[in-house]
Amino acid sequence: MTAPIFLDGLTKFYGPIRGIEDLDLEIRQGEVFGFLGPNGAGKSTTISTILDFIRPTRGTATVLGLDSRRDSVAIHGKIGYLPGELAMYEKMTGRELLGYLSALRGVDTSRQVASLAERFDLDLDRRIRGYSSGNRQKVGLVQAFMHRPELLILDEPTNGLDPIVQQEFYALLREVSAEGRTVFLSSHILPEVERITDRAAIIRRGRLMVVAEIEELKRQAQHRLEMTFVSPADPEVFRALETVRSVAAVDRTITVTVAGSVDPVVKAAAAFEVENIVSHDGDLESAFLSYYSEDDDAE
Amino acid sequence: MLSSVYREALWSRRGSLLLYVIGMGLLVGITVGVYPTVREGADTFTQLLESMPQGLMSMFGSSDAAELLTPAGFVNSRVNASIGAIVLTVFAISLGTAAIAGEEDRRTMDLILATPTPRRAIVLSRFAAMASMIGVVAFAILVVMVVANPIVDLGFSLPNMIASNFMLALLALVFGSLALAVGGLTGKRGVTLGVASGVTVATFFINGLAELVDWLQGPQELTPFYWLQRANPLSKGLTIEDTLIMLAVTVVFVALAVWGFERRDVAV
Ligand SMILES: Nc1ncnc2c1ncn2[C@@H]1O[C@H](COP(=O)(O)OP(=O)(O)OP(=O)(O)O)[C@@H](O)[C@H]1O
Ligand SMILES: [Mg+2]
Repeated sequence: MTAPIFLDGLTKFYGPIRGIEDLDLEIRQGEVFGFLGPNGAGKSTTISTILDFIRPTRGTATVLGLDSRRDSVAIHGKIGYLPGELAMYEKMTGRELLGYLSALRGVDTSRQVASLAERFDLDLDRRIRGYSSGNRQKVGLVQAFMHRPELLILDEPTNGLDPIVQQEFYALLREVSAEGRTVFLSSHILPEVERITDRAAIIRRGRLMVVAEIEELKRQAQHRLEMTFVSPADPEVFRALETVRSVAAVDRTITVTVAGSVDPVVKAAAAFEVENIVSHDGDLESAFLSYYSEDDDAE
Repeated sequence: MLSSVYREALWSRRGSLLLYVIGMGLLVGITVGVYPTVREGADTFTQLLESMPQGLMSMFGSSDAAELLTPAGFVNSRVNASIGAIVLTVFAISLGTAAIAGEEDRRTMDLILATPTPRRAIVLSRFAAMASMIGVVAFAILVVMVVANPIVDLGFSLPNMIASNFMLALLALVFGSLALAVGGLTGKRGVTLGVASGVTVATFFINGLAELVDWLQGPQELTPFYWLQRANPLSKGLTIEDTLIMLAVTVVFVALAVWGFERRDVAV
């Protein structure tokens, strides 16, 4: 079985500026794959290169067994794409836009469009200009899913969606994946990727830092625990623990960063009288600090 | 696929197409409508024209006062040699710019490119839509001329009127295709508009001023305005040579647009 997406040394420089460099990656059929990275990491650059909007400086991308450059038109017929910065024809109504894009695909999508619009609670008869940003995003999602593509490439799909619609979107992803179709989505929100993907890659400054199962990433992820005690506790107790990376004590509050299990920390804290414990899952930046800092010397 | 892009390009421009049809129709209608007055006051107008500098007169498509006052000379001076040609060219440039560079400027190109639509098909469909819309406006002018011809007693033959508007449309198409080419090559809306309008204005004045300025006579031969002026289709009918030149230039520009757009990164 050919991989839905296979990147071999994929590299894109914008003049002297590195977009992405030497990306090697293989996506598996039927998985929901998360592509994680902070702003400017190269997520959109990767997607644009895979879809042949921009051309690689070197390296190749193979999509559904087809070459991204030579067979781009055939590839486009098999994929659904949601742009990261979604711009649409402002004067069209949602329905007109979806009709136009369906015509370009040469498929009748009316049933899918109706059912997706209902799921997302989207009124298709308004002009794009008049849509709120969440509703624009819904139109973007509908056009990506409406022709039931075997591969979905979604650039920050939950941008602007309210929590209810997000849940609906997550459910849709599970269905797609259960049907054996593949999803490649980018995000900079760690908890989201943890929830909805099977595997993830972390990209930073154009380089792939790690590709792993979500469970594996979770084990390695750093948490920050903010513990407030009734009377000041001894920070050295925590510093001695194996999974603790750093400890800071201010008044009665001790903040520790933990890579891996928080269990020993909580057990150690129990020796003191605890007033409150706050756990910060952390954004991508802090959660994957270990990957991030490795790269800094390489600049 | 191709026809969807074509139809959308037409449909999304229906408003401005209607405005250009009305505007150009009025321009030609008024030009023809005032001609009887010109004919009656021919002596006065001849004196007036002869007191004008040569260069100014040649801007109207002829440096011969007597010819300028004939029906063909008069209508030609307003429609093919000055304001009419410029207005239609402006329309063509706006279409040629919107076709690629304008769409990239609005960042919507990735929506179409993500469908199985070859880049070449986008360029060719939008070129076809541009040519169709220019054709519609030229046809509207033709209708006004055909209707006014017997009323005002202009004495134009039908083939000459058809030839005149066909060649006027070709002139606009040359500049529209230039905009398409620059857009295909660069994808930058500002550059495209700047280059296309700059070339239009420059070639217009080179052609107009060549009468006065000797060293412009070489470059004049390269301006589309000159090709249309020397063809003088309202008097002489279709000139194969000038028609072919304008068609050939258009084909080169469209080929450049396809080549440029296919080979480069698209702004998304
Ligand atoms: N057209 C361009 N010209 C020059 N540099 C660019 C261009 N597009 C992207 N870059 C640079 O390439 C790098 C990667 O950008 P990219 O848009 O791929 O990041 P991203 O991961 O999608 O970020 P975000 O989360 O903000 O969407 C950045 O340094 C960016 O400045
Ligand atoms: Mg991005």
